Amino acid sequence: MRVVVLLLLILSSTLSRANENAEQIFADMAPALYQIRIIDKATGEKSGIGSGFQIGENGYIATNYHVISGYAQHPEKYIIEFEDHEGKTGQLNLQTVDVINDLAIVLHEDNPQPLHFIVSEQTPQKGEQLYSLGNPHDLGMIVVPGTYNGLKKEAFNDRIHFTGSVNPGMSGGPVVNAAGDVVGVNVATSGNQIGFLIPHGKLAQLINQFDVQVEKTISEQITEQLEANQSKLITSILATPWESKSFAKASIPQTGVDFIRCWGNSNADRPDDLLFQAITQCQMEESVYISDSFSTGKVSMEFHYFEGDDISTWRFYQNYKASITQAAADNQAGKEDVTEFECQHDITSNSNNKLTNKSIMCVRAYKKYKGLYDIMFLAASVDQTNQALVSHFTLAGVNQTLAQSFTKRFMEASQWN
Amino acid sequence: MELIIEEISRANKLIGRHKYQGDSLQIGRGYQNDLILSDPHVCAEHLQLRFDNEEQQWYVKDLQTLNGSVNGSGKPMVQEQKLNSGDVIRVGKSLLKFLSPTHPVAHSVKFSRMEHFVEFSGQWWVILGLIAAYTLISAFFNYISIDVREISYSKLFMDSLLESLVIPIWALIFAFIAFINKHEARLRSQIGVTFIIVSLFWVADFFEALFGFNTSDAISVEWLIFAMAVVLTFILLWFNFYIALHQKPARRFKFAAGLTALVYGGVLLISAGDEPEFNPYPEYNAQIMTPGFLLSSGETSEAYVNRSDELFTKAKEAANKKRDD
Repeated sequence: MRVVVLLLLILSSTLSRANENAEQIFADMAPALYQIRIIDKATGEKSGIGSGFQIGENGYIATNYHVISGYAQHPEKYIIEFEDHEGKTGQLNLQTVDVINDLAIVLHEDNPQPLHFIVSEQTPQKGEQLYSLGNPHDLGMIVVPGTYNGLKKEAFNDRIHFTGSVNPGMSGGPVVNAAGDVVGVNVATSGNQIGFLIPHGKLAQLINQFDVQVEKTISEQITEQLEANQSKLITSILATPWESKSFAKASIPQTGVDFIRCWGNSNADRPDDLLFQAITQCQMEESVYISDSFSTGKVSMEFHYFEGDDISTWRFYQNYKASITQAAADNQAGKEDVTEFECQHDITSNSNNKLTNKSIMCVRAYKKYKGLYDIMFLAASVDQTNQALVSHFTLAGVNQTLAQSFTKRFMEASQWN
Repeated sequence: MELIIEEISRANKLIGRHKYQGDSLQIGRGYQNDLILSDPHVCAEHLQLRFDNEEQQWYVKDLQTLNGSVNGSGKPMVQEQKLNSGDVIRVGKSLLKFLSPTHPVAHSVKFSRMEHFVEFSGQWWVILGLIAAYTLISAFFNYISIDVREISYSKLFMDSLLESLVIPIWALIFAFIAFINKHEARLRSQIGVTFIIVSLFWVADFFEALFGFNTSDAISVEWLIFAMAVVLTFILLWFNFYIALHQKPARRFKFAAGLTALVYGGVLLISAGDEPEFNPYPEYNAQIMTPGFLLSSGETSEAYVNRSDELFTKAKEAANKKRDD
């Protein structure tokens, strides 16, 4: 009994200490916290909200790129506004962005107050108590305690796994440790107390490069970042030879990188289906957000195996053909972002003659971010009478050289056993 | 003297042909006339014809009628005038053509191969054979497209039969055109010929599939296939008109070509109108056939990817062009 009381006492004391800490930090730092609003010029109404925090005496404020992306894409349509803890509002100027890590720095030019957050130099310990600050759903600034759970597994771009509620509107708000130093920036949620943060290192990087970056236009900055990101991404996928993985009566490639995850399914449980079909889908579960209608920086592959031993070859092919006519890009993009697809097709054989395909390759170019392309490739086997293999990939936002290297590697990677 | 009078409709159709013996002839609505017309715009005594034995010449005179008569040169007849063989005179709404027995006629037309083909296609056993063949081919294609295990064969057969029975509707339209033009309808020939030519579209489809499957985008046969469809449509319409109407070759050509242009012009216009302003989906050739039809040995991956340089260039140019706009 006594033990229980003691435990309760200890528990309540840690809890109250945590709350005290949170209250203290919040009270101290409130002037350096802002709600960031994107205002539609035509109507004068909010078209998006997020949070931001001051990172320098001179009025520099950090937030998420996705909070201010409307302005970054259409500066003629919107303005960026802040509201501080006293309810005062003012206009902000976009300075620099990092679309890969979803960060942006805006400037409060007009007589800013000097209080600002310090970016931590240390990475938190697993299990460490952190406090997420922000303005969820436009309800007012709040503080949410949670725990640091290390970096998200199998991610290409690092994200902190934070156990605590990060809600819409808190995006761009700081996450601080007990000392009040910034260790991350709110960015996303998976619901149910799972939140994701941008590690403080990414913010430090953006601050360090600020002087160079600020000289360039936003479009130039984004182009460079996408170019560098795709180069790192595709190079890492092509860095090691791909291993071969058995897939029904064929072999398909296994890239060996952990950020591309595969899922499988088949219709073996539906014997009434005319063709037996097995699917393996491998894709990155993250992409680079540019605007609501445009995302990029994604790699995905898909393999379909078809078999129909008990039907005529004619019938098999007629049904199999229907499954290869609808391939499309994996990323969203609109008319202002990309051109229409240009396609080529031919019968191809891989070098050991173990697979003959009808190969289709389609390419579309980015309009603002020059030198980057989306690729859609599909190869449908045409050399077996009653079995078929479809190998398909899409790349979003890659340059020509890497896209072609990837395609060559991919075309040689599938074959019949 | 003998005189032949042809009653002609305003659409240039022969209504009746009469032959007269004598030196004078009266035409009108009254029952005392030699040629009695029923047109209400014609007077009881309308035209007076007489043969001058000295001059060996027919003369014609309008009998001061209410609506008058119009001679061959399109002018109202005011006084007696010469009537030559082949002259057409309008009385009321009727046209009368006057011919002498020695008036020359066109050469006789030999039964052409075309005519033999048309006659052949119109036989019952040929038509039944064509319907059966067409139904079976449709049934085969419908059968291989079915994606479920349980097949209702009676439904499959009925659907295919109905599909093939759509074709006689086309033939029926032309038979009807012939009918309203007071020609022989020749429905069976229309049906037979239409079946044969429509079947040729299948041959075109087959070649389209075969080429689309085996060739790369570097060799585009799309225009050839399109041209083939246009030519087949033209041939079909040419035969339809040939069977339905007795037209001069040049006129028939104009009719068939005009209608073909109308059909494909419409098709192109509709497809151009349907094209979205921006298509986010790739449009590619996904034609595949069974391995038996694979004639191409296949490009190497290396060559295929190197060839894609052109795609990137094209996409880049499109991106630059849009930025300049």
